[in-house]
Amino acid sequence: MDILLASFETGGVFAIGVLGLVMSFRIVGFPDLTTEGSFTTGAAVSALLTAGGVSAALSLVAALGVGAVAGVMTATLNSKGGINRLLAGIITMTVLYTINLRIMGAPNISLLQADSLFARGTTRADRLAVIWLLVLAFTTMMLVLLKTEFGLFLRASGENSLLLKRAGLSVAAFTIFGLAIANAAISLSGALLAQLQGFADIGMGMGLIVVALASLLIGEAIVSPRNVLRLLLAAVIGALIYQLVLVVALRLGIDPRDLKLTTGILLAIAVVVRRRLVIRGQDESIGVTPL
Amino acid sequence: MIEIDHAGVAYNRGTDREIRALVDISLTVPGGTWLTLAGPNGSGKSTLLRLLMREVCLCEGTVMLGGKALALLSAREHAATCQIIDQDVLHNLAPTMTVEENLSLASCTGRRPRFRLARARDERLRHMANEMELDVDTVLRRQVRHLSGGQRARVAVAKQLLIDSHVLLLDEFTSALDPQVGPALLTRVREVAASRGTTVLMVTHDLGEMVACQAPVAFFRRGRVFRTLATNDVSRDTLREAFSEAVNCE
Repeated sequence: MDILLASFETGGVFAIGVLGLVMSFRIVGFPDLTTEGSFTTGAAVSALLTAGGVSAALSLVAALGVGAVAGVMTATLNSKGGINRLLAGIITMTVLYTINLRIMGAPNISLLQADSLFARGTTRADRLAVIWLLVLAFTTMMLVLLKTEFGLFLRASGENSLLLKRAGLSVAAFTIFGLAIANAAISLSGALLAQLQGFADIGMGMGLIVVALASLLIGEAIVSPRNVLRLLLAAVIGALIYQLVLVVALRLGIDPRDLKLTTGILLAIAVVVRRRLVIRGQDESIGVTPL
Repeated sequence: MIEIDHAGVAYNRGTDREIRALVDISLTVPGGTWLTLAGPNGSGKSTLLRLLMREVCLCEGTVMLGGKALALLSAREHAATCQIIDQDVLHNLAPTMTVEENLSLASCTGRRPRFRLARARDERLRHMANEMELDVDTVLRRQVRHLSGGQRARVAVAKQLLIDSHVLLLDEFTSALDPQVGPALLTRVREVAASRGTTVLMVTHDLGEMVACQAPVAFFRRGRVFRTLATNDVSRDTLREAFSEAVNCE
């Protein structure tokens, strides 16, 4: 039971990040590598503010803001600067490493003495309630957004940029908006993890993109994402199952050093299976597959 | 109304690989009328449509749409004024979105999309789907990529007609369709265009379509209009004659 609840905590935190990944990878069709940087930026900003006495809730709002700025930077480098999508993400990620170090002033910040969101005294039920309310809020917001007129064009921007141009709309504007939302979510996810762990670390975003993609693909394998709601549910369920597997694996005595190797292999298998489905025409998934 | 005055388009302009795709084109298509463009491959017909869609740049001359210079129209004004249905109908569709969602995009084309729920099931959309023989209860919920070629073409035509632009460009959109679907779709487009007073420019190689459209035909050769047949002169014989003249002079 304890394992299950622990994975519900971290699963909820990562679910918000995976929802962000859905926006960049599946909706806008942008293979955004900013993710690894913006996750840490969210954690760094939230930890710095909380350690400085600012309310933890406000620090989460600030994390949303800086994440959005990171997304705007990558999208602008690509759409206005003409830089390749992968390279634009790599540039932002690299820049963010220095910015994150500058923000934190050290490789890590402890929140043990600070009045963090999940400070000593909060029960697991409290933590779960806060995290899953945020997951619910973010999922609902994305669901409603993607059902609006704007959301339909946002989805179309990833699938067919010519369609947007012919509708008299700027593809760049939609990409910028999409990546802002995506990285805001990822940054919030980082901030929540810092609050949950009680520290922010410069390396906490490392390998996140593989984890998030693996979570998404696992979720998509379970919940065939035939519509927007199912796509968002796939992200949440995938994050949850991934964390559950991780916790179980660690409890079973798997060497933590082997976890990234296992994740990489799982992701490769999931991508190959999905490609086979696409080739056979059995894929019902909505959205874009940029990789 | 479309007014094209001494228009020219060149690819790789200013380089030793410069190709003059359109040379000194002057055409006037009155509002609410239909003009068919014919000629051999590479003669400039589709380039003229791309020019009107602002997908290639005008090098010389002027082009006016509805009395306004093409270059001065804002992106949204242009989208509301001029739309195209291509040979590859997927150019106007989002493949993993449902037919209903694709048709909903039409209602916001030419204006800023709002942050309000898309009215996917409005009456106009259902009416157009029925017009295009798309089953409202089944096909509307399917993803475009899982439809047959004929159904995709119907969706693309329905979407572009829902936009209700003043000018509609048709670029061989029936060429990949079977002999039943193609003519039927073209007939629907003609009926809708005539009832709304839409100005239509259609590129085709099909003599049957040219005759059926009962509209003037402009023949292209090497980027120029070399002959125009008036509606009364359009017959299979005159079209064949003009075609062979165009091909022989290539």
